[in-house]
Amino acid sequence: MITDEAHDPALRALPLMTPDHSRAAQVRARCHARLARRRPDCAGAAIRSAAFILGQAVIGGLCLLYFSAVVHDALRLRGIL
Amino acid sequence: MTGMDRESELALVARLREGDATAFDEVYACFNTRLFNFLARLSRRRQVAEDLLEETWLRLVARASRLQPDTRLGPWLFTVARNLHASYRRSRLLEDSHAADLIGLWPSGSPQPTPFEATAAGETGRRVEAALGALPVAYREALLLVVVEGLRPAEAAGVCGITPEAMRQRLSRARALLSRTLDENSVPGLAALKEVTT
Repeated sequence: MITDEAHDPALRALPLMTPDHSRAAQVRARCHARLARRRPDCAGAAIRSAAFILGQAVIGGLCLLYFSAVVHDALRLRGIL
Repeated sequence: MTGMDRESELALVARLREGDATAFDEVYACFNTRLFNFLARLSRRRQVAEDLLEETWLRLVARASRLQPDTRLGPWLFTVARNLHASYRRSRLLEDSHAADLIGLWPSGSPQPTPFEATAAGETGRRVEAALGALPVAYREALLLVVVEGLRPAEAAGVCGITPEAMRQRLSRARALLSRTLDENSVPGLAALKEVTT
Protein backbone atom coordinates (compact mmCIF):
# COMPACT_ATOMS: atom_id res chain seq x y z
CA MET A 1 0.00 0.00 0.00
CA ILE A 2 1.31 3.42 -0.90
CA THR A 3 1.07 5.91 1.94
CA ASP A 4 -0.48 9.32 1.45
CA GLU A 5 2.87 10.97 2.03
CA ALA A 6 4.82 8.76 -0.40
CA HIS A 7 5.78 11.68 -2.61
CA ASP A 8 6.50 14.15 0.20
CA PRO A 9 10.27 13.41 0.18
CA ALA A 10 10.39 14.15 -3.55
CA LEU A 11 8.58 17.44 -2.96
CA ARG A 12 10.94 18.41 -0.15
CA ALA A 13 13.89 17.55 -2.38
CA LEU A 14 12.87 20.04 -5.06
CA PRO A 15 15.77 22.41 -5.69
CA LEU A 16 15.77 25.84 -4.13
CA MET A 17 15.45 28.64 -6.62
CA THR A 18 17.20 31.87 -5.77
CA PRO A 19 15.70 35.29 -6.38
CA ASP A 20 17.63 37.81 -8.43
CA HIS A 21 20.40 39.25 -6.24
CA SER A 22 20.45 42.76 -7.63
CA ARG A 23 16.69 43.07 -7.32
CA ALA A 24 16.84 41.65 -3.79
CA ALA A 25 19.35 44.36 -2.86
CA GLN A 26 17.05 47.02 -4.30
CA VAL A 27 14.06 45.67 -2.37
CA ARG A 28 16.02 45.65 0.89
CA ALA A 29 17.20 49.20 0.26
CA ARG A 30 13.63 50.35 -0.41
CA CYS A 31 12.40 48.66 2.76
CA HIS A 32 15.21 50.22 4.81
CA ALA A 33 14.41 53.64 3.39
CA ARG A 34 10.74 53.26 4.29
CA LEU A 35 11.59 52.10 7.80
CA ALA A 36 13.93 55.05 8.25
CA ARG A 37 11.30 57.46 6.94
CA ARG A 38 8.72 56.08 9.32
CA ARG A 39 10.76 56.57 12.48
CA PRO A 40 10.97 60.38 12.36
CA ASP A 41 7.32 60.30 11.31
CA CYS A 42 6.49 58.84 14.72
CA ALA A 43 8.15 61.80 16.44
CA GLY A 44 6.45 64.18 14.00
CA ALA A 45 3.08 62.64 14.70
CA ALA A 46 3.59 63.09 18.46
CA ILE A 47 4.50 66.76 17.96
CA ARG A 48 1.49 67.30 15.67
CA SER A 49 -0.76 65.64 18.21
CA ALA A 50 0.61 67.78 21.08
CA ALA A 51 0.21 70.96 18.97
CA PHE A 52 -3.41 70.01 18.18
CA ILE A 53 -4.24 69.51 21.87
CA LEU A 54 -2.52 72.79 22.79
CA GLY A 55 -4.43 74.63 20.05
CA GLN A 56 -7.73 73.23 21.28
CA ALA A 57 -6.88 74.31 24.84
CA VAL A 58 -6.04 77.89 23.73
CA ILE A 59 -9.27 78.16 21.71
CA GLY A 60 -11.24 76.79 24.66
CA GLY A 61 -9.61 79.28 27.03
CA LEU A 62 -10.37 82.24 24.73
CA CYS A 63 -14.03 81.14 24.42
CA LEU A 64 -14.28 80.91 28.19
CA LEU A 65 -12.81 84.41 28.57
CA TYR A 66 -15.23 85.81 25.97
CA PHE A 67 -18.32 84.29 27.56
CA SER A 68 -17.28 85.32 31.07
CA ALA A 69 -16.83 88.91 29.75
CA VAL A 70 -20.31 88.76 28.15
CA VAL A 71 -21.86 87.52 31.40
CA HIS A 72 -19.92 90.17 33.36
CA ASP A 73 -21.19 92.99 31.07
CA ALA A 74 -24.78 91.67 31.19
CA LEU A 75 -24.76 91.58 34.98
CA ARG A 76 -23.22 95.08 35.12
CA LEU A 77 -25.92 96.48 32.76
CA ARG A 78 -28.62 94.99 35.01
CA GLY A 79 -26.96 96.70 37.95
CA ILE A 80 -26.32 93.46 39.69
CA LEU A 81 -22.59 94.03 39.78
CA MET B 1 9.39 29.53 12.29
CA THR B 2 12.32 27.52 10.97
CA GLY B 3 15.64 28.05 12.75
CA MET B 4 14.19 30.42 15.37
CA ASP B 5 12.50 29.72 18.67
CA ARG B 6 9.30 31.45 19.72
CA GLU B 7 10.99 33.85 22.16
CA SER B 8 13.42 35.06 19.50
CA GLU B 9 10.51 35.48 17.12
CA LEU B 10 8.55 37.56 19.64
CA ALA B 11 11.62 39.73 20.26
CA LEU B 12 12.03 40.15 16.52
CA VAL B 13 8.39 41.19 16.15
CA ALA B 14 8.84 43.75 18.95
CA ARG B 15 11.87 45.22 17.18
CA LEU B 16 10.04 45.24 13.86
CA ARG B 17 7.19 47.17 15.45
CA GLU B 18 9.73 49.83 16.44
CA GLY B 19 11.02 50.03 12.86
CA ASP B 20 14.36 48.33 13.57
CA ALA B 21 16.13 47.80 10.20
CA THR B 22 18.37 45.01 11.54
CA ALA B 23 15.27 43.11 12.68
CA PHE B 24 13.92 43.49 9.17
CA ASP B 25 17.20 42.10 7.78
CA GLU B 26 16.93 39.05 10.04
CA VAL B 27 13.39 38.33 8.90
CA TYR B 28 14.40 38.94 5.31
CA ALA B 29 17.34 36.53 5.53
CA CYS B 30 15.11 33.89 7.09
CA PHE B 31 12.20 34.10 4.66
CA ASN B 32 13.24 35.68 1.36
CA THR B 33 14.27 32.48 -0.44
CA ARG B 34 11.39 30.51 1.04
CA LEU B 35 8.84 33.10 -0.02
CA PHE B 36 10.37 33.31 -3.48
CA ASN B 37 10.18 29.53 -3.96
CA PHE B 38 6.60 29.50 -2.70
CA LEU B 39 5.58 32.30 -5.06
CA ALA B 40 7.57 30.92 -7.99
CA ARG B 41 5.92 27.51 -7.71
CA LEU B 42 2.52 29.06 -7.15
CA SER B 43 2.72 31.46 -10.09
CA ARG B 44 5.15 29.41 -12.22
CA ARG B 45 6.62 32.63 -13.49
CA ARG B 46 9.89 33.98 -12.17
CA GLN B 47 9.13 37.61 -12.98
CA VAL B 48 5.73 37.44 -11.30
CA ALA B 49 7.29 35.79 -8.26
CA GLU B 50 9.91 38.55 -8.05
CA ASP B 51 7.22 41.25 -8.24
CA LEU B 52 4.99 39.61 -5.63
CA LEU B 53 7.99 39.00 -3.36
CA GLU B 54 8.87 42.69 -3.45
CA GLU B 55 5.28 43.64 -2.66
CA THR B 56 5.24 41.18 0.25
CA TRP B 57 8.26 42.86 1.86
CA LEU B 58 6.86 46.33 1.27
CA ARG B 59 3.64 45.25 2.98
CA LEU B 60 5.61 44.03 5.97
CA VAL B 61 7.39 47.37 6.26
CA ALA B 62 4.16 49.32 5.82
CA ARG B 63 2.38 47.31 8.51
CA ALA B 64 5.28 46.62 10.85
CA SER B 65 4.15 49.13 13.48
CA ARG B 66 0.67 47.56 13.54
CA LEU B 67 1.80 43.94 13.92
CA GLN B 68 0.30 42.15 16.91
CA PRO B 69 3.00 41.45 19.53
CA ASP B 70 2.35 37.70 19.24
CA THR B 71 2.43 37.58 15.43
CA ARG B 72 3.89 34.43 13.91
CA LEU B 73 6.03 35.82 11.13
CA GLY B 74 6.04 32.74 8.88
CA PRO B 75 2.27 32.35 8.58
CA TRP B 76 1.88 36.16 8.38
CA LEU B 77 4.30 36.47 5.46
CA PHE B 78 2.95 33.44 3.62
CA THR B 79 -0.59 34.79 4.06
CA VAL B 80 0.40 38.11 2.49
CA ALA B 81 2.28 36.36 -0.34
CA ARG B 82 -0.60 33.97 -0.97
CA ASN B 83 -3.18 36.78 -0.99
CA LEU B 84 -1.05 38.86 -3.35
CA HIS B 85 -0.86 35.90 -5.70
CA ALA B 86 -4.63 35.38 -5.46
CA SER B 87 -5.17 39.07 -6.32
CA TYR B 88 -2.74 38.77 -9.20
CA ARG B 89 -4.59 35.73 -10.55
CA ARG B 90 -7.92 37.49 -10.27
CA SER B 91 -6.62 40.57 -12.04
CA ARG B 92 -4.96 38.66 -14.85
CA LEU B 93 -7.46 35.77 -15.07
CA LEU B 94 -4.40 33.59 -15.24
CA GLU B 95 -4.77 30.33 -17.11
CA ASP B 96 -3.74 27.42 -14.94
CA SER B 97 -2.49 24.97 -17.52
CA HIS B 98 1.04 25.92 -18.53
CA ALA B 99 3.26 23.39 -16.78
CA ALA B 100 5.91 23.86 -19.46
CA ASP B 101 6.61 27.36 -18.12
CA LEU B 102 8.34 25.69 -15.21
CA ILE B 103 11.53 25.12 -17.11
CA GLY B 104 12.30 28.81 -16.90
CA LEU B 105 12.11 28.68 -13.12
CA TRP B 106 14.88 26.19 -12.64
CA PRO B 107 18.32 27.28 -11.55
CA SER B 108 20.80 27.20 -14.40
CA GLY B 109 23.19 24.87 -12.61
CA SER B 110 24.02 23.45 -9.20
CA PRO B 111 27.68 23.22 -8.21
CA GLN B 112 27.86 20.14 -5.94
CA PRO B 113 26.36 17.03 -7.63
CA THR B 114 28.16 14.92 -10.21
CA PRO B 115 26.90 15.17 -13.79
CA PHE B 116 25.05 11.85 -13.37
CA GLU B 117 23.43 12.92 -10.10
CA ALA B 118 22.54 16.25 -11.59
CA THR B 119 20.93 14.61 -14.60
CA ALA B 120 19.01 12.02 -12.54
CA ALA B 121 17.91 14.50 -9.89
CA GLY B 122 17.13 17.06 -12.54
CA GLU B 123 14.96 14.66 -14.50
CA THR B 124 13.05 13.42 -11.42
CA GLY B 125 12.77 16.93 -10.05
CA ARG B 126 11.44 18.24 -13.32
CA ARG B 127 8.76 15.57 -13.43
CA VAL B 128 7.74 16.21 -9.83
CA GLU B 129 7.80 19.93 -10.48
CA ALA B 130 5.68 19.48 -13.61
CA ALA B 131 3.19 17.29 -11.73
CA LEU B 132 3.03 19.86 -8.94
CA GLY B 133 2.54 22.61 -11.48
CA ALA B 134 -0.31 20.73 -13.11
CA LEU B 135 -2.29 20.63 -9.86
CA PRO B 136 -5.05 23.18 -9.26
CA VAL B 137 -3.71 26.18 -7.34
CA ALA B 138 -5.62 25.32 -4.16
CA TYR B 139 -3.98 21.89 -4.00
CA ARG B 140 -0.61 23.23 -5.02
CA GLU B 141 -0.55 25.87 -2.29
CA ALA B 142 -1.60 23.29 0.31
CA LEU B 143 1.31 21.01 -0.61
CA LEU B 144 3.76 23.90 -0.81
CA LEU B 145 2.81 25.30 2.58
CA VAL B 146 2.67 22.04 4.54
CA VAL B 147 5.10 19.68 2.79
CA VAL B 148 7.68 22.05 1.33
CA GLU B 149 7.56 24.95 3.82
CA GLY B 150 6.82 22.85 6.87
CA LEU B 151 3.88 24.86 8.20
CA ARG B 152 1.49 22.98 10.46
CA PRO B 153 -1.82 22.14 8.72
CA ALA B 154 -3.63 24.50 11.11
CA GLU B 155 -1.23 27.33 10.21
CA ALA B 156 -1.61 26.56 6.49
CA ALA B 157 -5.38 26.62 6.95
CA GLY B 158 -5.06 30.11 8.44
CA VAL B 159 -2.90 31.21 5.50
CA CYS B 160 -5.48 29.95 3.00
CA GLY B 161 -8.46 31.18 5.00
CA ILE B 162 -10.07 27.77 5.45
CA THR B 163 -10.74 25.51 8.44
CA PRO B 164 -8.08 23.00 9.58
CA GLU B 165 -10.40 20.15 8.64
CA ALA B 166 -10.83 21.57 5.12
CA MET B 167 -7.06 21.88 4.87
CA ARG B 168 -6.57 18.24 5.87
CA GLN B 169 -9.03 17.17 3.18
CA ARG B 170 -7.38 19.43 0.63
CA LEU B 171 -3.97 18.01 1.49
CA SER B 172 -5.20 14.47 1.16
CA ARG B 173 -6.75 15.17 -2.24
CA ALA B 174 -3.66 17.05 -3.37
CA ARG B 175 -1.40 14.14 -2.44
CA ALA B 176 -3.69 11.67 -4.19
CA LEU B 177 -3.84 13.80 -7.33
CA LEU B 178 -0.08 14.28 -7.33
CA SER B 179 0.41 10.51 -7.01
CA ARG B 180 -1.96 9.87 -9.88
CA THR B 181 -0.27 12.47 -12.08
CA LEU B 182 3.17 11.04 -11.33
CA ASP B 183 1.98 7.48 -11.93
CA GLU B 184 0.62 8.48 -15.30
CA ASN B 185 4.00 9.99 -16.16
CA SER B 186 5.83 7.05 -14.46
CA VAL B 187 8.78 8.72 -12.78
CA PRO B 188 11.53 6.05 -12.45
CA GLY B 189 13.03 7.42 -9.25
CA LEU B 190 9.64 7.69 -7.58
CA ALA B 191 8.67 4.16 -8.62
CA ALA B 192 11.64 2.96 -6.59
CA LEU B 193 10.61 5.21 -3.72
CA LYS B 194 7.10 3.75 -3.80
CA GLU B 195 8.48 0.20 -3.66
CA VAL B 196 10.27 1.15 -0.46
CA THR B 197 7.10 2.50 1.09
CA THR B 198 4.96 -0.44 -0.08
